[in-house]
Amino acid sequence: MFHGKLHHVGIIVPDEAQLTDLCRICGVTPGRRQYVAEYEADCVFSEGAAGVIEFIIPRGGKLAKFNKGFGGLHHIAIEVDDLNATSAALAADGVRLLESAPVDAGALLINFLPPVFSRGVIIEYVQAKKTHDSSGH
Amino acid sequence: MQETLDKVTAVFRNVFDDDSLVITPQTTAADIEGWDSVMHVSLTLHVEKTFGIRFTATQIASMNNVGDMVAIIEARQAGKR
Repeated sequence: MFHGKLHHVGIIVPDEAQLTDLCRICGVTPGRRQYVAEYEADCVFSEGAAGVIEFIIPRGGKLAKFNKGFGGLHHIAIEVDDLNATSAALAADGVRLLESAPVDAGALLINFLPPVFSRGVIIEYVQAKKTHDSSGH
Repeated sequence: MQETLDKVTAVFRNVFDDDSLVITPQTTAADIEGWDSVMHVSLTLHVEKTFGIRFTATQIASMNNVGDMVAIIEARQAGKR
């Protein structure tokens, strides 16, 4: 089995105005921003080493339709040491991840658990890429 | 088969709030607008509750269409008896 720990919580916001409002409500500052082409979305991580929130701003695709386009709490992300090993461990239990191979998301490799396996919770598995600078997440 | 399919059809109509839905063993998510991963969770939970079963992860992963779901339901029910 693998060991996971909470990495971040993902929230879909329909636009930049909602991003600004939610950051203010949560008392966090938007930090690093990255476009993930695989999911047609800009991802903005709140600043801070712990308790990170990922704000996802879809430009199109399936994420833009989440909760009828209104966005909302989307997933929790669990960090693991080895995403391929995690995928294999889950497969041994009959659980199949969404992507056949980890998706490159900048500083992270990611894959998703289809929510039917958790009966409602979308779980993102993330693995930090091994770099000389380990300050990013 | 038909009795189970009729019950499954009733679940689909309830979940999608559409009494005109026609469900066949060949029906897949591509055939029904709005059948996304979130609706799939709702469908699965409603089917489990209706038939009093809980699918295993392997069974969930093996469902490629409604016919697969019906076959698993009937196998589980046969195993119960």
